[in-house]
Amino acid sequence: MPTIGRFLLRRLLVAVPVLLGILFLTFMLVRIGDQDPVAMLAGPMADAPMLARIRAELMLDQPLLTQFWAYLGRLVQGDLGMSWQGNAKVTHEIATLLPATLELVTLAVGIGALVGVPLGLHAAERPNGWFDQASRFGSLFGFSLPTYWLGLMAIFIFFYLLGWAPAPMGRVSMMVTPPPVVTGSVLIDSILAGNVEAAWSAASQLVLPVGCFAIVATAPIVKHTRAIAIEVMGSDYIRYARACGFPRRVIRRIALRAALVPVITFVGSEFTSLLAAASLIEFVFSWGGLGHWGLNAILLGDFAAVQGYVLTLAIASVIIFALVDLTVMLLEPRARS
Amino acid sequence: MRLLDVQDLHVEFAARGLDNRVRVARALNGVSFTVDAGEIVGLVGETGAGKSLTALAAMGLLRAPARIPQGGIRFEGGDILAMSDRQLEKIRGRRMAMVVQSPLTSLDPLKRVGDQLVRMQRVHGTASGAAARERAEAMLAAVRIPDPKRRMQAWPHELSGGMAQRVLIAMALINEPALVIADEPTTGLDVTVQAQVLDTLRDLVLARNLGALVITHDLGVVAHYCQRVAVMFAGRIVEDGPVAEVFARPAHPYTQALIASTPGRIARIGYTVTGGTPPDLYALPDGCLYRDRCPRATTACLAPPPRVALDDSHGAACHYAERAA
Repeated sequence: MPTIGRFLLRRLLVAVPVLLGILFLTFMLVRIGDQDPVAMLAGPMADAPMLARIRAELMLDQPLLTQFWAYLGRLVQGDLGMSWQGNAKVTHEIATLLPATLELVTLAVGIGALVGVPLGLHAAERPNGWFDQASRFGSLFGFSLPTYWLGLMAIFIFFYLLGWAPAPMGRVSMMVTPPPVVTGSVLIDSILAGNVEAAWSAASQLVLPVGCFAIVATAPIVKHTRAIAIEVMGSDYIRYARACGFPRRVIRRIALRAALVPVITFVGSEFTSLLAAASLIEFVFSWGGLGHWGLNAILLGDFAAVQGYVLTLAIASVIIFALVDLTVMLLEPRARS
Repeated sequence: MRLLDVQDLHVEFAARGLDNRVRVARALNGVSFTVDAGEIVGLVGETGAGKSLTALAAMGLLRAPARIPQGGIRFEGGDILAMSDRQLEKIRGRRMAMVVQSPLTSLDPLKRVGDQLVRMQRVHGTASGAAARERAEAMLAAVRIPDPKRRMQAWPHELSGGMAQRVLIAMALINEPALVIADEPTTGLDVTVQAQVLDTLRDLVLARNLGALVITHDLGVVAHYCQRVAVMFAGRIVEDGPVAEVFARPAHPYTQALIASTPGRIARIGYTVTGGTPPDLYALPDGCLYRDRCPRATTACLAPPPRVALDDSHGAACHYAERAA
């Protein structure tokens, strides 16, 4: 359909300056901080000429704009520079680590939507009824809990006290042979390889971090779905549907269909924000995904890695919002004209 | 048997205020009127008089916190107030249909016009499939929508206000109901479009021998399109009768004031209406509710006015109706 092609092209054109701006800000922000990666890279034994040589190699002695220009020059060739913490290409690190984060966030948002949307809809059926009050209390609770605290408490209770969960150390137990990488999700790769032991281990490693993250994801979805549903139920076309004598199930279908678009939009934006929030949960569970890596990069002053991390999140947001808008275009006649 | 027979209808709202005291707003205070097949009855009055509320009550659409402490509504002999939701759903949209006042936001935004007309028939089991589509198209033609075949495919947001109002009329009439209630069907439309829409509605209603209740605050609409009129004030019918009779010899001071404030009269003789606001529904006085604004009020008006019959079809709720008429 030419409309969709034009839409995607327009999106791409808008995305370029946005990404450039984000890149510029990140680039400058990491450099105007007082982190000095040179001293860290050179080690404690380095003398002044060695420090100067490393500094020159990294171009850190050049003016900031010159550095940024050179970075852009390499970026358009697909080179995001080297990550100092692992001495590996940033592009390679992102490619290996992103699937781990996507696995976590997709599961959390998926569960959040599967649980949160029905809860929100049910709460909206009787505003201020007991179910609504309870779900409102619950979602306020989910909103207020800090992610890392939730993770630590989950580890304390289910690993340390009860011993139900495996040690919070990565994505698969160190005692099993990990499957060959296909999708990047250990669980899916193990299933593809027919490795039951690894699949079981990967699944059990997923339970706690996904559970904690799903709580964080569910709370706002309940709240917004409820608000959207209440607004739809009070709309003119629902009142008119009643005046037309439509039975409850028909009215419910009209309302669900009308709530679908705003709910999808909200879940999409939720996905992008949780992609960034994943770093804390990943850190607590030593998940070894992109968020974990990005957080370390920020703490260590790994400039190229921080830039690559932020750029990845920004591109992911652009893609997700484009997908959301595409879905909305398919579902909503008013968005097509 | 009357088509629609509303007798002594009272509606009140109980609301808990910020001080946690329950206060009761008495919105309708004894509304009585009838609609027969083949006649168009106008329900006229100022904003807040209870016109739309009367319509909602007649359709059985009132829900909490609205209450009906007293009164009766009979439609085709059936007691609307005693019916279950299930029974009401079978009547609404089938035997009595409503044309609402905000057509553009009332149509389902996610369904094509034709599909909505088909759904209206399918839900009520009057037709389905190709037959329903055919009837839908014929109905669009009947409400004088040009190129109905193409309009069947239109989305509601592609319609103009007048066009959408015609679609609502088509929706209301497609199941061949006995009664049509039109609640300010032309608010927000251009004057020329208003006239076209109302002409269409009147022609279809009279051609099919339906009854119609037209709610409006426009006396011009009443004069043009209705055979009988009921004038509402503060939740009461203050005067009712044949349109020609009421306009020629208005007996209630409020009706007289309304007629005096139509634009034509104002242009000729200027404003003559005294000010004042409708009474507070939370604290209705006893007696005549219009007495604070009434030029001829006396101590007699402290007692509730009876409906004074001026002839067999014309009456007014005023102690001095006969003298005035």
